[in-house]
Amino acid sequence: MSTLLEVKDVCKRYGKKTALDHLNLTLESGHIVGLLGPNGSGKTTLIKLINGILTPDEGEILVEGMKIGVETKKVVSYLPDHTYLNMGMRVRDILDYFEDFYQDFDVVRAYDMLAKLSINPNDKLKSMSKGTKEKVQLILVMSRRADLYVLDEPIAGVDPAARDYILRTILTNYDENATILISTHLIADVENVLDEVIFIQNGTISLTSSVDDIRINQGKSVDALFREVFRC
Amino acid sequence: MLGKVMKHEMKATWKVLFPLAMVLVGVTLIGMLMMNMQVFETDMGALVGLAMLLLYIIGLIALSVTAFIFLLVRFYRSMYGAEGYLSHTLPVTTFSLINGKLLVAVFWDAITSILVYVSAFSLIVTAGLNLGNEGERIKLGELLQQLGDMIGISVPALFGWAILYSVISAFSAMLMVYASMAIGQLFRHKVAMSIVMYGVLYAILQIISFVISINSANGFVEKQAAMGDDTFFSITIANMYGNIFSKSMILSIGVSIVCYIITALITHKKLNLE
Repeated sequence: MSTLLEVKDVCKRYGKKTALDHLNLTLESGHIVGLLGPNGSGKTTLIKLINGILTPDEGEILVEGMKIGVETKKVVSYLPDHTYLNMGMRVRDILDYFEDFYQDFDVVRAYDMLAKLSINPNDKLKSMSKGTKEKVQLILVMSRRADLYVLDEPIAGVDPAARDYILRTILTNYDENATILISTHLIADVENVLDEVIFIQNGTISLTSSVDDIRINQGKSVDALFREVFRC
Repeated sequence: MLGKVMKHEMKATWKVLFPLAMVLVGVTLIGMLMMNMQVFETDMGALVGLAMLLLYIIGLIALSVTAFIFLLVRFYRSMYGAEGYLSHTLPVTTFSLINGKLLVAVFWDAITSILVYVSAFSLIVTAGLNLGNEGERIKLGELLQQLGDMIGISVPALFGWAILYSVISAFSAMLMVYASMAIGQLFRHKVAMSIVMYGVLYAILQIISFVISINSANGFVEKQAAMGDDTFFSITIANMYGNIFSKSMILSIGVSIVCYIITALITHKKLNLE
């Protein structure tokens, strides 16, 4: 196990609103970690900072000891919480695109997953349902042999059967040396795949624990603890 | 890195812009054919010809504007819209992203401008070649020579300047909008602020251009007054416009440099995707 991600005293403000407030976090390799928090807690802001699409106002973030940049983007695979591909492209073209830019992209695995879902690589994204688009995006992300997978709300907005598929895909394509960071507020659905959880509230970390510790020591599920901690 | 960005940018844009270019070529060839067939020589034909000329001019403007807007929307979506999440998580530098998209956009914008010049010139030359009765018409070489004498610069040299001007103008036009978008994305209402910033930059540029034009025009008027007759008219026209174009190109280069720095720095340091 090695230190994969270090978030050191990071602050991010949007005008007068503080999204992240001197946040500190360390992730080791080889875990599936749930980043859990209510809406507006700072989950997506933190994720965007890790992926270099926002810059922190204070502090720094390191991935494998490197500052966020070209080299970290080679080892981080990111699934945003919305459709981010060019809808006019065919699935085949997007696979070519990923294969061209990412050396760790396993195109054989990607086509295999598409075939299992009966998704035609010649179809255009704009002709697909929302759920199918999300599956395509997940396939792209999980077909990379990255060190850190960052999935922002991967199962929100899809039906229960699709959720099961997404979680199975995550588990079956998971490299034990990698880390998967899943941001979600649908805890009951993902709890069984997580081995660690991070609770985030008002831009700070309120709890970091293994799932086993919560279940054994506190005698409750992560979902129950979440409802308790973030009770309105 | 830059090569890959350019390759995929070209793939994303050619399906729209190549057909637009072909439409322009097609319209030009049809116009030249109709002039050679002298269909506009009757009264009715002249009226139809005038209507077609108006449509042609509107079409040229529409085509150029469509191509320009398409390229700008493409840049905005892929850099600051939802697709920005893909672009900015690629293992490429921000500068490669901007440079790749800029070079491809400039290529298409310059090609469109050059095709417009070539189209207009081709139709003018075809009209000139068909003036007068059979046997009295001017030959192409002579016509080009006369045009060159009238303007004060040879036609090949004029085309060279037109190509250079098209490329430099394409850079400055694109980069002005890119800089506006880069500043605009810092705010909550990104698109609205981008438009406002473009207005500000455009106003500044217009003021500077006006001052340059006035200085050049004053120089022309003084020379004309000093010469007193129109023997030297063509020389001073070419000199005046040459002077304006030279200063305009220098201004465009300056604008391009400033706007590139704004775009690159803000996008690299202050990216704010929603």
